[in-house]
Amino acid sequence: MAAPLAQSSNISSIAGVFRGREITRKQRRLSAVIGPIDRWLQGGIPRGRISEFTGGPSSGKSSLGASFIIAASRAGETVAIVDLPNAFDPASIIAGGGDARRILWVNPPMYAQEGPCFPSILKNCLKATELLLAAGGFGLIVLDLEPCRTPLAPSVGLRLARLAERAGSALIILARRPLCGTFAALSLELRCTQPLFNRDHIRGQLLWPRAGTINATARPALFNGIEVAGLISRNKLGPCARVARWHCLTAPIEPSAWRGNGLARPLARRA
Amino acid sequence: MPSGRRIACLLIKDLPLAAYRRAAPELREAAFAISLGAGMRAPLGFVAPAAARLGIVTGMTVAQGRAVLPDLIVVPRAPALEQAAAAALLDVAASFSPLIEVAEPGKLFLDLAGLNALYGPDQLLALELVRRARAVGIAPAVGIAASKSVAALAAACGPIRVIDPGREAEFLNWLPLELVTNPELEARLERLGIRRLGDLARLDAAELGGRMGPEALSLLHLLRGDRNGAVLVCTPAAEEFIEGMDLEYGLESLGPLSFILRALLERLSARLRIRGLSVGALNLSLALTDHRHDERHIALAAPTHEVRPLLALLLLELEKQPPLAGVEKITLSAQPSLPRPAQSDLFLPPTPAPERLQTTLARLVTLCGPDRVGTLLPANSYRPEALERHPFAPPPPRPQPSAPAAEFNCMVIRALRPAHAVEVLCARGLPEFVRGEGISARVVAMAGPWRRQGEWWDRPATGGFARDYYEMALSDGAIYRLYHDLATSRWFMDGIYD
Repeated sequence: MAAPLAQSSNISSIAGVFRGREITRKQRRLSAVIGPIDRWLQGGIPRGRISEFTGGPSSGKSSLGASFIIAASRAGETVAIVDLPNAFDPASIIAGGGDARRILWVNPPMYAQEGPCFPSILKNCLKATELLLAAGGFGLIVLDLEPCRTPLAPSVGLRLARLAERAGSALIILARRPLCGTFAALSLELRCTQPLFNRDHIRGQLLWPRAGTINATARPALFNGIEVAGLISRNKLGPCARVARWHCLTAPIEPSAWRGNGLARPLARRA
Repeated sequence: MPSGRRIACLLIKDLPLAAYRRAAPELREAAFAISLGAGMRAPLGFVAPAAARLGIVTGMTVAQGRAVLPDLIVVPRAPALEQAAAAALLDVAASFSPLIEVAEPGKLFLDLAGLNALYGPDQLLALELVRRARAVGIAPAVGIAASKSVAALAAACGPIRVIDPGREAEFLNWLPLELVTNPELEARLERLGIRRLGDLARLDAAELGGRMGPEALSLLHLLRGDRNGAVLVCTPAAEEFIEGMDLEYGLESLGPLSFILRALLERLSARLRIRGLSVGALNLSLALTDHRHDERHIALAAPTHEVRPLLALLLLELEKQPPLAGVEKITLSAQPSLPRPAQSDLFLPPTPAPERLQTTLARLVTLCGPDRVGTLLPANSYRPEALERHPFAPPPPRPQPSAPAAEFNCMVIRALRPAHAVEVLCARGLPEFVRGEGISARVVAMAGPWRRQGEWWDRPATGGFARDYYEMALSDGAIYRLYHDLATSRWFMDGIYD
């Protein structure tokens, strides 16, 4: 009897139970299960809303998106990735502990490159995202619009926002700059403050590194990851302008990983 | 007779006419007839009620029919449509019970044992039968009684007729002889003043058999209920769903063909839907005007019964490789597949409903192509870029122990597919500058080389692959993964750490 009672006390945290007239409860968050990020975002990104992760190459936006993918798939949620640039690397997700079987990968074809933003490809991407949102049941949908340079039309942003709210799915958009304007509930600007070379880390124990320089006589350096600085540039559900710093680290080297697929770097250690 | 036994008879009168009405709904109220041959001298085998009301009768030639009614629509007999209509009727019955006996095309019996608990009394059951039949485009008459013979007569009498248990004799007594016998015997009995089946009950069986023959005797047995114990000879329902259409002339463009394919898919989808099935794969067979056949097999990423994605897949297949001649006959068959069942749990994360997920997958495949939707996994290879795509079939959600929050984020790489060829300028054997399409930057920091080699056991002639991998932070602020192909001495960039 005690177990059902204990379970019933958790009902308010279950998807599909809402208060009043709201479609998606605003306090429902998708956690990254990473301390600094969860504290920075006050529990994670909002479900049923659009969250934008923006930044240039190597800014850490894909790694931040991947942390939510890993957390959602580990929690048993179904995840979809609409991969416009065909850049999704499943080995990185598996190395981070994600369950790749729960991740639906959709890659609209590149018909033609029409200027800085490809209307035809983008249209297919957005259509695929709308189909996924309309299907419902996806805990997280990631829309990778890295090659897109111009903001989306307001009507597109509105449609995505409404569909996300109706589906209750967290929608992450990865891009170089904000694309959704006012329809994004959360907009994060990320940048790499420092690449981490010259030191090794084993099983999460980090030896603080510095940016390395080329020295022919030194032994080959190791690339451990990057230090990321994040700024909340827009937040409809909480405070703005909060800054956080954290580290994105490459997969720790474990002997078992050496025998894996595409994760092994035995020669690196020997060198 | 087994107590409480109920048999339903589903009867399509004039199956060829019903098959045309199913395939071409615009003919439902039209005055049309089916000719049994080609040319103006061919006799009319079946006449629609609208034409019969205007004076067209069976047996007239096409020329005579047109003389009476110039606007008469004459169509040839279409065996493919008739088979599909009969199969659709079987699907309607199979959606209720597996105990079915097909007496003849367009007429079948269905054992209703246990169905009242699901659908209510016989009247409601009959209405549900008719509703499902209309969903697949046919309108059979339904008769329900305690035996096959009485159920068949009840179906012949009206669109829906239910003979309550114990009232079979009352129904049969009223029945006019023209419904149960041939015109010759009917005329002979009528000369004796016998116009209804009930009148036969007064006669002695031996005398009736001796004077009127075995057919009259069988009527008496029917009246007395001697045949009520006849069992159903069950017919298994179809394992493959086929719809087809014969065309009057060869179609050479895809536009008109798409309209026909849509109609065929709609009929197939309706049949599958009432059986609770989805389309697992499609087989398209085209008979061409040059007497060749064009066969296509379209495998679906996920079963669905939605017409739109199925039609799009068919059209994509035909556009990819158009038929070599005009199309005279189309046969479309669907291999059924069971929808994936799932049980939701209140305390587990929600997952997409299987039916909706399958439909969504089919639409995504239509939008993006079959190779671009699924689950992407690393292949069993030492090449980092080797990937395998699997059909998306997420396992059911399972509660996992919550992991403690980590203090750092995992670094992922954005793959560049295919790898970009770049030029790397080296000094003292170490990379100094990288130049390529859209990139021209100095090396700021670097890790490597990490050598990867493999597949020499599979390709002894080429020696497999051997690469030296580097991680380079360039002056443009990004960190790239590059490799030096030792076989060709060329440099490639295959990913960006992001």
